[in-house]
Amino acid sequence: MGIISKSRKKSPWIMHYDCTSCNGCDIETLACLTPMYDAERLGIVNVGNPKHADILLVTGSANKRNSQVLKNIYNQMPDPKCVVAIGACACTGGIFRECYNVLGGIENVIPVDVYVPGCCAKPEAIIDGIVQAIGKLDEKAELMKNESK
Amino acid sequence: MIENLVEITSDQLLAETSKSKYESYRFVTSTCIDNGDDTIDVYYHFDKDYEMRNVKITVKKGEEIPSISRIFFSAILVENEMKELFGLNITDIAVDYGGHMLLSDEELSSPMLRQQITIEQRGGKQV
Amino acid sequence: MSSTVIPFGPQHPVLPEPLHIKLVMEDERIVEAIPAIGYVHRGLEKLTETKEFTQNTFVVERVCGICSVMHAMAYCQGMEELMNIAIPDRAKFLRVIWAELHRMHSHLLWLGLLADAFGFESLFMQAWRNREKVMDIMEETCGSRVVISANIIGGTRRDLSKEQMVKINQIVDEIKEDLEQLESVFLNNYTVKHRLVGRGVLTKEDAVEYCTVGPMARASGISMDLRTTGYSAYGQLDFEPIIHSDGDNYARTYVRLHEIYQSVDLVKQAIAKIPEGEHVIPVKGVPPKGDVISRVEQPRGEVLYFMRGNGTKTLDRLRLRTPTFANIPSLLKMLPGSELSDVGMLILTIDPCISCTER
Repeated sequence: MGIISKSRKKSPWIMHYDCTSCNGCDIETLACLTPMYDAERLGIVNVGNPKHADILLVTGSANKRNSQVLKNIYNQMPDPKCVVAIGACACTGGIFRECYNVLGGIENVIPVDVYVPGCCAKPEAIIDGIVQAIGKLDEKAELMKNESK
Repeated sequence: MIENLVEITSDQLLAETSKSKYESYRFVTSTCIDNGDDTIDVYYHFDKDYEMRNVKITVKKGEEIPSISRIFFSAILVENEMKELFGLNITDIAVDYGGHMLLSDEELSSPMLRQQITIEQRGGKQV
Repeated sequence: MSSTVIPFGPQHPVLPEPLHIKLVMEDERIVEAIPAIGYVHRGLEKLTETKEFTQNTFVVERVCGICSVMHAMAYCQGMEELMNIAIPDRAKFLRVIWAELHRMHSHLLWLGLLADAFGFESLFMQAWRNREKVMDIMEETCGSRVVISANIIGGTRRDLSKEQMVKINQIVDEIKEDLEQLESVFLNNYTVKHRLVGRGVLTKEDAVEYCTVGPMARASGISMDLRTTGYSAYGQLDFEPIIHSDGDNYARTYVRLHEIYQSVDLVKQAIAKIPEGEHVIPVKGVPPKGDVISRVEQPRGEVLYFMRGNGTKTLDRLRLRTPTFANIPSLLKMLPGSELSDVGMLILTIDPCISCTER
């Protein structure tokens, strides 16, 4: 294992973007990083800049205005990258599916790799989702390597 | 059911609001209700020492309503919202977003109105 | 001097939520701030018109996860008034207990975010560690951590057993002890004070002029706390609104921090005074024709619910005005004249809840 793939596996950097979440999933995502759940023991570090991030955590469903922002953030992240949709709203639109300004789940805007269900998603589930995303990240890195050969 | 309700017409609105301000009432918010026919009810809620005072006007769709944001600056957000979601013709708002505060620019007008477009027609829309 | 426009947000490390503000700068000073919102707008008010009035309790809880109990409480109170339902006394006390626990978690969360905003990470972690105790109570008593669905029309969804109340009593004591250790850092530490004292001053006159509500108003010396009107069981509990006169970031921190102590006290009082009996009564019929207004004090301030029933299962209109919606004009007043480095802090000290604001 090379230094880059090792560090990607042992310390994935996450970035969180709130689409139209009710804050419930947001605060649970933040709670993952604090002492009770301590995602940092798995090397997971929260960053504010999409250009530093490996995994994008998205809470809440997409609407017409924020889908542009979401696309921008996604495009700014370097490859390989993973997207985790957290909570019912991000997966399918949830309770707000029928609202006039909601486009449904974020899969309608950007490709999603891991879906974390729940309203609100529990921190345990979110950490599990991130860990699954690390696996996907590895697969994607392999794929990129083979393609470049 | 609503305490201290005063029903007025839209041309008395500014005078009534100024009176509330003079009597040191606090502007709480406005509520807009589509009656289903051609009219819209607009409530203005004021508060002083936990006592509410509610002013109600009933306007026709498309009728001009003066903005109270020159008297109570904090009315800017709610007036922009009513203008956008109900298509109320509020004139002279202190900070006017031109009907694009909450919805994106390509959005169809006034989704909260009853007789315009139903949720089913727009909700499940996919990109 | 020519001015520069700096966009702040929508994605910003300080803000957990997307808020976009265009800052017109001259050198390092802000001359004008123009907010652009709409990144979280869903159209919740329209959704409530298509759901039944009993289902709406769970819709309004999802206006905002942080103050979900108070949203449901305001809605249920309004509907009970409209339908003329007298809920059992025990339910009123149970609502107060959950509401005050929610206030504690909200304020602790805010203290943590504040510490994070000025880069004091260990303080952030400590505040959130403390908050987890409240979340544990929520999970134990309601089965969920954030959106707990404690209120339904006619009372509460669950009851608290004697053992649970004893345990809650113990845990809030622990929270109080932990908070006492944090208090000296938040209020007396030199670096923290440097970022808080004298920054973002909102005078009492301005607070009145801009119709500020909640802890913002109380930090500017306005004695305004809807709980003193005695809705639910608050009339039977003994408390005074916490007021500070300076109106700066420090005052707002002081007010929110001391409100946690107040909530601890209110929870203990409610547990001591809670009567025996039913915790819910069955609700029959549908909401009659008529309008009703219901107001409740949230962690961020006053929330107003306006409901119009039409004699069927669905409501004609449900309108809600949340505290952040009322506080944004005061933020626009505070921003001009301050420095760019303080913007994050200033936005945070109004305790913005954007999903509340835009619904």
